[in-house]
Amino acid sequence: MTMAHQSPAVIQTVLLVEDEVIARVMLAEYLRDCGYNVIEAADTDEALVVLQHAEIEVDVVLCGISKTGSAGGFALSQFIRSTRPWTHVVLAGNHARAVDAAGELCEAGPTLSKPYEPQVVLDRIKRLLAGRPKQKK
Amino acid sequence: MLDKVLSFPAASLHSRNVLVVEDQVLTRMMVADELRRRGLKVLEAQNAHEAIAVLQSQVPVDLVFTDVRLPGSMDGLALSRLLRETLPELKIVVTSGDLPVDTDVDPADAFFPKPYDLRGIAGHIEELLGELRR
Repeated sequence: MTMAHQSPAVIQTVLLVEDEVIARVMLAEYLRDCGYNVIEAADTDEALVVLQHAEIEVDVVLCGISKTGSAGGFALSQFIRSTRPWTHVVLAGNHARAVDAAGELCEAGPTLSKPYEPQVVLDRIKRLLAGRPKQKK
Repeated sequence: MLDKVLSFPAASLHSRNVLVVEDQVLTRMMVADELRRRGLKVLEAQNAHEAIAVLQSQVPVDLVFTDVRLPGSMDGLALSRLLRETLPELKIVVTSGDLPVDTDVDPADAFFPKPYDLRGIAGHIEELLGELRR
């Protein structure tokens, strides 16, 4: 059961910003299965609350949305560059690109295990979203 | 039932799933981290509508831990009543910084006033989950 790509990796923290709860839950679970510590933010306002606490370490911000919250993804990115220039920012903009970005993180990051492909995650998100009644925000 | 659980490769047959409903991101993060440290799988929702969306999906949930004060049209007590009616086997734990300790929170299995002892709550949640059989 030896996997060449596995290593005693340092756990990194991803701040996941996603306003669709099903997509957020699935993406967060995927990233945790890859070995990341994941902080979940439902909008950019929540993300800013987290980022304003300097003691909370964040290595990567993965933003799957562009507008939700008083600050958009671009404003969030600017805030991070000015206050935490070492933090990597990925502005995905939608679920599919967020899943791709998560897959790339799992390739490059602290891979404790890689149990399934990003496409599986995306298909799962689509199925779950399609299977429930529409909710008013 | 089994096929639903196995349909997501990461799902564990042995883990218990807790849905934390809390609009204060730092509080939600703190509670979720403590529960994950204890080996529980934790889902997070910012408000009652997100919680309902999760519960309407195929993602299994064994226990809901909810704050009373939530943004939107439904607070944590209304959510608890709805869940008690629709999912009677679901365990429900309610917390609030606004309600007196002796408030009737009938739909809930347990009520914790804020500020609460995080380890105490996590221990109580584990006890409630221990009562479940799958």
